Parts: sequence; C-alpha cells; structure tokens
Amino acid sequence: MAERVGMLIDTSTCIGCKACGVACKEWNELPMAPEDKVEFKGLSYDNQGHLSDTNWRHVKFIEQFNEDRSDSRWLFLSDSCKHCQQAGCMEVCPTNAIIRTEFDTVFIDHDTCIGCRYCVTGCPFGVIQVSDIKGTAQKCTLCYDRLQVGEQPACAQACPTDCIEFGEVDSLMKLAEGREKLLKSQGYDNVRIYGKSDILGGLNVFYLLLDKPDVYGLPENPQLPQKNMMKSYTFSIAGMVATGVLALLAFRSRRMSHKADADQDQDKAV
Amino acid sequence: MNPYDYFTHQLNSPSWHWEIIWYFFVAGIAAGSYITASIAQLTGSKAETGGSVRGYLLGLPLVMIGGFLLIIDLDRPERFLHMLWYFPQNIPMFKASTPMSLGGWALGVFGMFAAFSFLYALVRMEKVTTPVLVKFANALHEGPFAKVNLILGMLAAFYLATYTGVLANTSHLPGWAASPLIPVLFLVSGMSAGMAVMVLMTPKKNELEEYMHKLERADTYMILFELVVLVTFVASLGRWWYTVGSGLYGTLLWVVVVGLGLLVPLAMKWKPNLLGQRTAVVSSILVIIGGYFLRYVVILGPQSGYNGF
Repeated sequence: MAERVGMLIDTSTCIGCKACGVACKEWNELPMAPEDKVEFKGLSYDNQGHLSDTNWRHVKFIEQFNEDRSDSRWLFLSDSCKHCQQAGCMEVCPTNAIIRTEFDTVFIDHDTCIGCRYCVTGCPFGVIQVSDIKGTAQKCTLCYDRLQVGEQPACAQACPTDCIEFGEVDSLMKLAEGREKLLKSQGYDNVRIYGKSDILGGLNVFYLLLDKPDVYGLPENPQLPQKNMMKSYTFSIAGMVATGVLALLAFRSRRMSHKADADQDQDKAV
Repeated sequence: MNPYDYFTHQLNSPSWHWEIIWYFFVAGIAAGSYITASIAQLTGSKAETGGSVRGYLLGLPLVMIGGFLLIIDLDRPERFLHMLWYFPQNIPMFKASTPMSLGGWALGVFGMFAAFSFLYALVRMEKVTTPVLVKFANALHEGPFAKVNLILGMLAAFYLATYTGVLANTSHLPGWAASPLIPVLFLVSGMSAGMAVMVLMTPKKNELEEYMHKLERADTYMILFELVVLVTFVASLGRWWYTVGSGLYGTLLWVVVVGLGLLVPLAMKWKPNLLGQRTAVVSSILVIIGGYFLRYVVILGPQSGYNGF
C-alpha cells in the first residue's frame, strides 16, 4: 500500500481565484452544467454555487457584511470531496462501487456504479451527485490517474498561492498545526484545523479555517448515516411486535372458531 | 450575513421521485396483505380461510411490479444485477451496513414466499390442479411445514415493509434522519392498506361474513395505530417538522392522509351504514389513497429545497 495522501486547504492563503476549479474541470474533462441547471447567482461572486457532477471542486465565497455595509469580510474555501476515513458514501453504497484506493483515497468505480443515488444521501458534505450524462455517481478522485504516475492533483498544481498543499497526510497535519500556531500568534483567535481524527475518523482532505466550521457551511460534528440505523431497526422490531399483536387481537376469536372446526372434524371422525 | 445558507443547502437530494414512491407503496401492500393472510391462515377456521387466502394473490405480482420500479429508477438499469452480485470478485453482493443491499435480498426472499402462497391461493381456488403442485402448496400452508413457512414468510414481509423506512433514516437529509419512526409508519400504513385491498377482494358471501367483520376490525386497529404513529412521527421531527407538515406537503399530509385516509375511514368503520353497502368499499379506497400519499409526502417533502431535487 502506498502512503496515505491528501491535501491541506489553508483558507488563510486562498484568494478565491478559482484556478483550482478550472484545473479540475480541464484535467477531468468535466462538461459545463446542463443548460437547465445553469442559474445566475446575483448575491455572490460564487458562480458555481455547489459541488455537483460537473463541478468536483467549488470555491465557496463567504461574503459577510455588517448592516450598513461599511465593514466586510470575505472568506474563501476551496471545497471538494474530503476522502473521509469513515466515508458515509462508501458505507451506504449497495454495490461496492465506492472503494478505497492504495493511496487511501475514496474512488468511484464507474463500471460498478448503478446510479441508485443512495451515496448522495450518505455524504454529510453534499459532495456527490449522479451525472445525467453518464448515469453514475460523480465526485473528486483526488486525480487518481495522476497519483498513479507520481503527479500531484491538478488543483494543487494550479493553485498560485499554495493554499492547496498536497502530500502525505501526517506531514500535512504537522504543517497545518504550525500554521495554526502562527495565525493564532497573529491574532486570529478562531483559527482551527477541521478534519482531525474527531471528524469521521479524519479527513484526508482537511482544512485550516479562520472561523467556526458552520461559517464555511461545514457541519460541526458530521456522523456516518449509520448512526441512525440501529435505532431505526429497533423501532422497526417494536413496530413489528405491535402490528403483529394488533392483527392477532383482531383475529383472536378465529382461533376459537378454528378450535371449533377441529372439534367438529374430530366428532365426524368418531 | 452569509448570502447562502451553506449548511443546509450543501446537502444534495438523491432525486427519488415517482418510481420510489410507488415502490414503497406496492411493497407495503404486498407485505401487509401477506402478513394478514398468514395470520388468518394460522389462526382461522376453514371457512374463513377461503376469504383470507385471496390476500396471497397480491404479494407476488406486487413484488414483481416493485422490482421493475426499482430497476427503472436506476440511472444504469442494465446493471441492476450489481445489487446482488459483485462482478469484480465474482461473489454475492451482500452488505449489512446498507439497508439498500439488505432490501434487495429481502425483496427476493419475500418474492419466493409470496410465490409459494400465490400458488397455494390458486390451488385453493381450483385454478391449479396439477397433483405435484397441489401437494407442494398444501404442504407449505396446511401440512407440517405450514408454521415454519408462514412465520419465515411473515418475517421477510415485515422486513420488506420496514426497511424502506430504515433506508430513509440511514441518510443525512434532516427530514429523513430526524425520526426513527418512519419504518413503523410505513409498516402500519402497509398493513392498513393491505387489509383495505383484501376487503375489496372479498366477495359478499354469507360464510365470509365473520371473516370480513374481523378483517375490518383489524383494519380499524391499524388505522388507529397509524394515526398515533403519524402524529408522534411529526412531533418527533422537531424543527424539521415543516418538511412534511407545512406547505403543499403539509396540505397533502393533513387533508389527504390524515383527513381522507384515516379519519373519514375511521368514521365509516364506526358508522358502517353511512353509505349503505358501499361504505366498506369507499372506506377501503380512501385508506389505500391515504397510504400512497403518506409515502408521497414522506419521500418528497424532506428532499424538497435541496440541490438536485
């Protein structure tokens, strides 16, 4: 097995140029969104709006203004699949089409995917969408084809500020911790790393954030969708018992008639 | 202010539409009618079983329709066998961590039991007279294997009726994930709708009067239980109650599902001569319509507003 690789997205150095998104589109030959899905987003410089089957990388623009718009803050986050250690999409996929590669990344096998769309609901980050053209689930592969020949992902190579750092996850984490300390010493009190082992066992693509995760639209404490499953099965069993008992109660006197039938049959036999 | 509510809107909708709603609906009726007919078979008198055996006629065709709906819902329907067989390693595809995988198998297993009972119903109705088939069907329903066959079949039916709710629960859409009562709701609704279809299938005969009376009583219990579960379900959604309880979906839920699908049939059970001889028929049709719209609301409501819906 090759080393566990991933990316550190340092939002403190992102300038929102979207070169990463362009590089991703070009390398992966992603088409533009179908005409009916193109929409104008007049409230923001964000012209993608969302990760999708045709946008595997999306730069979030968090544009914050005070009431009279005299003060403002722009935050950027280059978003993509996080290649989670505990990947909800992989857990719910009924055909094992979502697999873990030798680089410890999460990859969709397009020859096995049936387009059931269950993985879409399994991802807490809204990463996956099924392509209307190919009929299979689509998301960032961390440029698996480039990794196989020793290259870094296209987005990381294109990033002009090195906000996207590619490498071995443990080394990247040390780098992130160093930057976190530096930023704190410069007065960025809310700076934090998002994606250590407390988040779904660790994210291979993790973030250095300047504010709380929900400011960036990231869930504070994402869980595997299976956290609901056992409770759901327990309630199912209770439901089975309750409906079974109710049905039996409704038919209860039939047992008496059944007995009467048997007695009658016995009498006849005698 | 952030112009986008990124937290909620970053989730994607799976875009499950009419095929899934109809599949959940027919699977519920298939399971509900099979369970009811089996309980009647295990506890009933011979005369009454003559009526309840008609319930066995529903399971197999509905499972086949359900399977077809599931296949056409896929974006790559030609690959549906990947649900059951993992071709890269040539091994069966079985994955306990995903209700969809278990559900695929449950559909097949229930289909087998439903096929046995379908054959038995045809035998009882003298539509099949081939001795081997008659012997086989009778052995599984009246002979020494009857209890084992029917109890295992009921377990498969129970799973089929509930796993659809577990499937919705095992997701990140808040309206699906917030309450573990969806499987119970689908089960009870499937039972009441299944019983309603059985009421419609039962001919007016003197010897079946007692059976009809008890079937309607069972349906009344299910409707009452469904009402309790439904109200508890909406309350248990907490701040996500609006996904099913307001707007268009709320109107459908409160007017069509609760009003027309549960309360009006209950009133008709209470006053069985309200519409003369047609009361039972109208009441059953309303229960079935309510069962369909319950799934319509629970499947579509929580998806609406999310990217891809």
